[in-house]
Amino acid sequence: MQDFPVSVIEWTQKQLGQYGRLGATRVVKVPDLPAPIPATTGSLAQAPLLTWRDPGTVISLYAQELSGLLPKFAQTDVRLQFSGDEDLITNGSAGDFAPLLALVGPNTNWFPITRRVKRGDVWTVTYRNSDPSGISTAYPSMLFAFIADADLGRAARDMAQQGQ
Amino acid sequence: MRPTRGPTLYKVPGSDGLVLAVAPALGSPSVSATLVWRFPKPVFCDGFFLALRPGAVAAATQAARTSLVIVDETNQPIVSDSRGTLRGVTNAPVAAPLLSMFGRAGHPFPIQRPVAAQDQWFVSFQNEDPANVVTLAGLFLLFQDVL
Repeated sequence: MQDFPVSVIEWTQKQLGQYGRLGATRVVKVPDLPAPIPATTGSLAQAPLLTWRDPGTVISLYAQELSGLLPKFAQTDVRLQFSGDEDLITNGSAGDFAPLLALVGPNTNWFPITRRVKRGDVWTVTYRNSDPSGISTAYPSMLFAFIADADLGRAARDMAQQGQ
Repeated sequence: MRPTRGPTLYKVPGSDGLVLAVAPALGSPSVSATLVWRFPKPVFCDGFFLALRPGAVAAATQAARTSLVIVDETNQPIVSDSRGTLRGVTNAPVAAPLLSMFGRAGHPFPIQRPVAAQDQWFVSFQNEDPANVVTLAGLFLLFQDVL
């Protein structure tokens, strides 16, 4: 594991104190669905695959439904599969769905996760329209806050060069 | 580059009062002109948020349908979909919706970006609402001074 200067650690602790989380160096968006999920209750839509191109650490998940309305957040489910047949949400025997509202509620717009990724890792996001009326489409999207190893290394070098 | 004092909020010139036109259709957003932000001195940028003026629809709906594109001083997008970031391939920027990034309360999105004086970031905005314009109240960057 790489050793970072003390100043990097101090600054990291400050970020945690100020925001309760670390700042990202990049934001990576799951490629958008080409169209809204059909209105039929239980309709599934898999987003285009997210292929990680740079090694680093994913620190949080952000998501929404295009209406912005809480009922739609409660009626739009998501499943996230990491590389290697592993799910973020599981029922103990298999991957499963959770409503957006359970992950990104009305007061907090992010869900904390800590996952290392390497180049070529593929994550799969599948959405489900669980609107019981069956008359309303859903158009969700998802982002990840990401700290690229290369960016953190640059920050450490900057600090080292300035003797801090 | 060590953050030592702050934050200071800088408002990107041209972002306050900017009106985003109605989208031609759902899934086909209107796109604003690109604003250029030049950093006046070395700073540590540790967050940003975009504020909107009240509109004809619920604030959360407005935020869900308004998106932001930021490209950094190296001409790389801060928000991408990871397609095309392999060396030698153009890394196309994508738009991030405000509701995802800033939530219903408009929290700053925490980032960690040391920048040098005269570095430039390029920002543009998109409106996905086919029925309503959006008026911005400003894009704000949070800086820690580097002393």
